[in-house]
Amino acid sequence: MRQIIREPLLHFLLAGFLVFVYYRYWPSNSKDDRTIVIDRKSMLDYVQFQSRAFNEDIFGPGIDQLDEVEKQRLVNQYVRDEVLYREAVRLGLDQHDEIIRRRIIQKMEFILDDMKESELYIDEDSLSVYFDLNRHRYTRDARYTFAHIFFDNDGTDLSAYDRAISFMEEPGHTNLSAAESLKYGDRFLYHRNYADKSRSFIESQFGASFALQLESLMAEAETWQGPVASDHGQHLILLKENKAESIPPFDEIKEVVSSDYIWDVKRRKQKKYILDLIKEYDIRVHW
Amino acid sequence: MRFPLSIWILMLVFMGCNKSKSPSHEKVTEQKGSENPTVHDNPNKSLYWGDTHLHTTNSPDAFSFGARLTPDEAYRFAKGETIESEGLMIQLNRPLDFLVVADHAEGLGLANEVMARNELLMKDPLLQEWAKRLNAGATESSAVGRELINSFATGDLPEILFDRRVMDKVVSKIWSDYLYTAERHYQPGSFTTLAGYEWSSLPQGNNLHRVVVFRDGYDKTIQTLPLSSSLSSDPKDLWKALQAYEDATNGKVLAIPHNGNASNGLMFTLTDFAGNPMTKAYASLRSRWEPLVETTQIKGDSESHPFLSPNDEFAGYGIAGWDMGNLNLSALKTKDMYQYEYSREALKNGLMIEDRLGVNPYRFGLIGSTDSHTALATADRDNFTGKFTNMVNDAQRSLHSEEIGVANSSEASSIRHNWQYLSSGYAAVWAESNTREAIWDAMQRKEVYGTTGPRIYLRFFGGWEFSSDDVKAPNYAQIGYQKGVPMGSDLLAGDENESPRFMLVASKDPEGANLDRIQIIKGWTQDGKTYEKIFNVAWSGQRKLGTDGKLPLVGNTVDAGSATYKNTIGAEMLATVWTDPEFEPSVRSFYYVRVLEIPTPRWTTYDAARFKLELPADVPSTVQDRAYSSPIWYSPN
Repeated sequence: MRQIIREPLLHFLLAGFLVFVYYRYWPSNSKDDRTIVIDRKSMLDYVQFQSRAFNEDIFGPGIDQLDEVEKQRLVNQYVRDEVLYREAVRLGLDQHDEIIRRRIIQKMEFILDDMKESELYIDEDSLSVYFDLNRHRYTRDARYTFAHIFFDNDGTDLSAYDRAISFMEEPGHTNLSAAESLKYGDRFLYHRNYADKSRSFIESQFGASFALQLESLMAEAETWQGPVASDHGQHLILLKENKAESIPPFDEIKEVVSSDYIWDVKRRKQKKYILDLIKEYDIRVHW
Repeated sequence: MRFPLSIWILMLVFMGCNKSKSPSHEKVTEQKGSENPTVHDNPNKSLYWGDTHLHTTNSPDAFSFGARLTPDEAYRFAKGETIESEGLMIQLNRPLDFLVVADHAEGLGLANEVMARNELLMKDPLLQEWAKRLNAGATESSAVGRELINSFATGDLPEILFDRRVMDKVVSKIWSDYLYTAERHYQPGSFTTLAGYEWSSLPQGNNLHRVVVFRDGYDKTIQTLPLSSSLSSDPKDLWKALQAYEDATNGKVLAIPHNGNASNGLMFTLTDFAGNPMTKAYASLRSRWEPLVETTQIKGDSESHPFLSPNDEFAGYGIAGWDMGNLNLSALKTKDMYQYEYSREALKNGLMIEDRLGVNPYRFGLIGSTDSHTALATADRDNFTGKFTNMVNDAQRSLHSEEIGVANSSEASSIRHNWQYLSSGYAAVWAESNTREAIWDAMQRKEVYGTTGPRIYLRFFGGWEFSSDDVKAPNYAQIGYQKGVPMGSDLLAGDENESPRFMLVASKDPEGANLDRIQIIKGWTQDGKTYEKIFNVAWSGQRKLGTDGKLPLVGNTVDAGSATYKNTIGAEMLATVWTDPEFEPSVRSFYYVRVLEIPTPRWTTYDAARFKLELPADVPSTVQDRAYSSPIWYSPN
């Protein structure tokens, strides 16, 4: 008996029997692996994933209207995909593959992103509350209209600043019109006149500190002010208009606000959903 | 990918959900005319940046690659608003001043109409079935695509698509929505929308596309419909339609050809479309309707080719892949085709034809534009959103083959790759104000230039009396207009013994790279032959011209690994007055300017750094972005 117990063949047979039992009678595993269920819901999910768009109001009637031939084609396609997928998983192709991992994460994010957009109902009141809370996001840049006389830093021996000052001291120069001013000073890289240009536009052509100083000049002035330093040199300025930073009226930008609002709500929901998912896990950090 | 209407319809592979946004509107009450007291004119012209060639979901090819953004979103994005595309919230870092949404006339908006079950189209049982299945997901819609190809092959496309009584109504509705959106976004003084469309003539896959741009508002443009190339691919028929529009409305319209590089020798021929010798009448029509050429864009740059300009070491910017065959690679190219494809050669041949016929058919200015099919007018190296929507948010995009080429390639060895797309270009316009009238008029008089993306600032005047001090003057632009003519003009003959002088000022993109050099490219014709010569006229640093007129390279500060560069080389501004040392008063010639930036990372280099990609060895890691001015032409008395 002892000999028999030690017999490797018996071990082998026993092991084989166990494997057989496991695969034959372990229903939850074996059946799921080899069964493909096709119903309206799985097909609806399938076409929506394929389209990367999730709207049952459109896709539901869409698949219901398919005739038998079309349905069969859809089923065949689904079965083919599903079998290939499961075989790949059986071969372990999904393991330790960073691309697949990333892709699946992306997919999950995409689904969460599109969740229930159709159910989002935005009423006017909550939208205007949202607008009030986020006014800073809709701030319109300050805008300026001005002419300038430019004195180049590497112009002559005299510093640009000194040249600008002495230019201003000459008779009649403080009251020049923009058109008359064109022939004075040095050549500038860009424009002589700036009409209704945003602060960021000015910053990109003159530098940030220039834009800051522009703010402090007197608007609607008839006389030249400055000099004001830029990245390039010194400028005398005839500031015609300074439209302060402003927030446009709600009605004018309602459409933009509403799309931002939807975006925010979706983000918030997604974040909450992911946090809820994370709660289901036991996270152990050994690092 | 552009095909005649019939092919269009069958190419549609629909995906996704219906996102119809057409506003209900019966009439447009407010007409925005040229009288606008808030818009003040600058007699010395201001510089405006824009894109004259942008596609949205209305274009069937854009649609089939996933574009769902509408013209409304395209305008909002160009104005600087944040919009969502492919799960990304994106915003243009610097707004544009004007935009032409130029969707394909062939099948304009039709895909969305079928999906939205337009009642008129649903009378046809087949279209009804398509609508049903187009709304049933990608598998079904691909199947529809295959069936369409079959029905095209067997010649039984739904007749309703050729029934003018039906289609005129369908297209009218689409066109009206399209124009209304442009009207709504027009803000004279700050943002200009010009109505337009693309006439997508593509005989045997050879690209003869034109973007049509209207000067007028809704009241006039609603009286016409976009012309489809399905009935005729002959540009003459387009010009006929444009003439009919002007006759009927007193309006104004022009056409801008693009992608000569994909025309397989058809864009700038010495003959008419049928192959007959060019007549004076034909040449006049061409120059009358086509004052500009979009010479640089996503599908390559068509300024010059090294085969045609062997002495130009900067020729052939962004030609890789595009000089291999026609648009869909259904036919490969032979070298004798290049001379009829590239802008510089066409400008030269134009002079030659003018010598013979007295009219120059190829007297055109140069611009760039995107031809993006994503509704996103981006052209910079560091914000490239790709040709089609499937490239907007795909880290691997630069590694894929270019889909159209692969699908149609006549030979397996010749395929194009996505990396060969260029992040290019924009149109720069010198106009009195930012209005439809002023911008369109500047296009018509060719006071425009193109860049491969950066907003390089460029003034270019020709005259006989410029002194070298003029360009140093603070009001050099004013002097430029007083003593000479701006880019795009004719320089009338001067005194016998004088040579023409050119005043040039170029400044770097305020947020971009320094400048390497300014070149003047001169072309001329003599004894029935054409010639060209490149003059380096202003450059950064202490470099010395060689005896051959060549200038040493500026250097390279690009760190490809991090996709960065430094402005430690190059100049912020270059300016000069240049006199042609080889002027021959009896010879017909032109002069245009090319400004080169210092080397910067290519868009693919940004992708590689951001997404840790390994690019194929033949992808260049740096580019020298550039600006091309419209020429100034000299004609002997």
